[in-house]
Amino acid sequence: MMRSTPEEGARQTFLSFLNAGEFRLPYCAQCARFVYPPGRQLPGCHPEGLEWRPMNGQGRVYAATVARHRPEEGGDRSIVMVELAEGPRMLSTIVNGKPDQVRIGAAVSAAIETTEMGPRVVFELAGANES
Amino acid sequence: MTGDLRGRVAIAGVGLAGIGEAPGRDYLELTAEAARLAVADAGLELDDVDGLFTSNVLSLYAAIDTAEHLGLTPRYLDGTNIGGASFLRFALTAAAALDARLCDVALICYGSNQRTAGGRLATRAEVPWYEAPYADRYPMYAYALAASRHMHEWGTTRTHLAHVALSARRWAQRNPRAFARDPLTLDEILAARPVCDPLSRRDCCLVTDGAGAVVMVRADHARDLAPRPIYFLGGGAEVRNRSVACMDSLTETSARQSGARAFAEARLAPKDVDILQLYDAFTINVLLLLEDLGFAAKGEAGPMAAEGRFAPGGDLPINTNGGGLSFCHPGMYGIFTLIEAVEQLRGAAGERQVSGAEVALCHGVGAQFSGNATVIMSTEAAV
Repeated sequence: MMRSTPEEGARQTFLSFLNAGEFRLPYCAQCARFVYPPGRQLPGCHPEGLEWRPMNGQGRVYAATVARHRPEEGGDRSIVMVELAEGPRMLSTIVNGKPDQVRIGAAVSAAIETTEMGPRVVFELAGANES
Repeated sequence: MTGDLRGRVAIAGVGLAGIGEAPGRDYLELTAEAARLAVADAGLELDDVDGLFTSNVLSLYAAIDTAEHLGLTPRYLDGTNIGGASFLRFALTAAAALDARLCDVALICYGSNQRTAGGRLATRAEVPWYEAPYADRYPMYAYALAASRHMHEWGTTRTHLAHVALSARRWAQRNPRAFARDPLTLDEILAARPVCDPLSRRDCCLVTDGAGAVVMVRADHARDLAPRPIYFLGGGAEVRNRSVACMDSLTETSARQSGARAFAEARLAPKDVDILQLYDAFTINVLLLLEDLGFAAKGEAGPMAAEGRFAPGGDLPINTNGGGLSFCHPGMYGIFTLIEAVEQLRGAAGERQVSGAEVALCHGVGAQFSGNATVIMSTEAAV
């Protein structure tokens, strides 16, 4: 009989790494792919074989939108789908430059930001104005 | 594998209530009015209902609340929630339950008072934890991201999207029950305030109250009851993802799978369909769904919209009631696709009637492209 392990779950592990300043995702060596979102069962994959590997932080904008808000509501906010160099896509935000200047295909690099809600991975456009 | 329920069940009655604004009434009261109208339309009594199919984003226990409110003790109950597409999926499970004699009279129903209760989209849907730190304007951002990707990959333009909104309004102007019937021009649509780029306010569905109900029975029963039963020909449903990050492509939905199953069961192809009712929570949906359901190659749906082919007088009438963009959108819209298809196939759609409509395809999308469900139905002559 398979026994459950006492380890913390994938969500907690992901956030613990972010709190330690590391952006890691679970990797399945058998399937040769990363798992996103962490904890998701990929078809045909055996989660007991997963290894948390550091991401190189590089990616490209796969899709982009701007959630529009009035200045008194905090102004416009970028929402993007980033395709990471290692393969997975994740929802995130671009934190430099102007939200409406983000273009599909643009090179981006990851940073870890601490918010009141906890840590999160954000992205910066290479060469954008720091405005 | 596909089902084999072609022609074995039929819609015998439909009902609409509180479309637009229905102040002072809650979702159960609105649902009940629509249910009573649909049951009466079918020539039945509410007490005849022994199969109940409903869900809601306003209440976790919508199915049991609705059973109690309607005084029903259903032998068969389905409260599965796959978002606004739930009601098209219910047509599939109702067809199967009727055919298996798990129930004899199936009631699919929905209602919401979100407009007069709060004036904005009301939902208890939680955002997945890995998206919550970025989610802004849930669920719209997912559709906006898909639109941005469709423009990038396939050359779709904001003008193409605007034509979808324009077409919906032109249909609504022929529908006395539609909530938004004011004159609207292409330039006004294109000049609308952006909400979640590239989508503007005019790319978004309405926020209204409203309720709808559909009564389904086995085909032999329907022929005894209703003057013009509308037959179920085929259906399909597919759930693949909660988040759009888990889609293989942002420009291909699981309408491809649900549609293929529905066509196989109906033994029909897109060329056989006379009218379409597609869940247009956002304009981009109509283009994506037409492509994934096999009515257009990728990138072709936008130019088809711009040619006016979906509008009154066009050769591919879509959302002939005005859709979620101009008819009504009380939070979850799926049931209204079924009701409009029935009214058209009965020849009872008044000024907006599409002449010679015999076969209709309805399709729903739920949550963030999460649930897809397709239903094909026809008149008796086309079974």
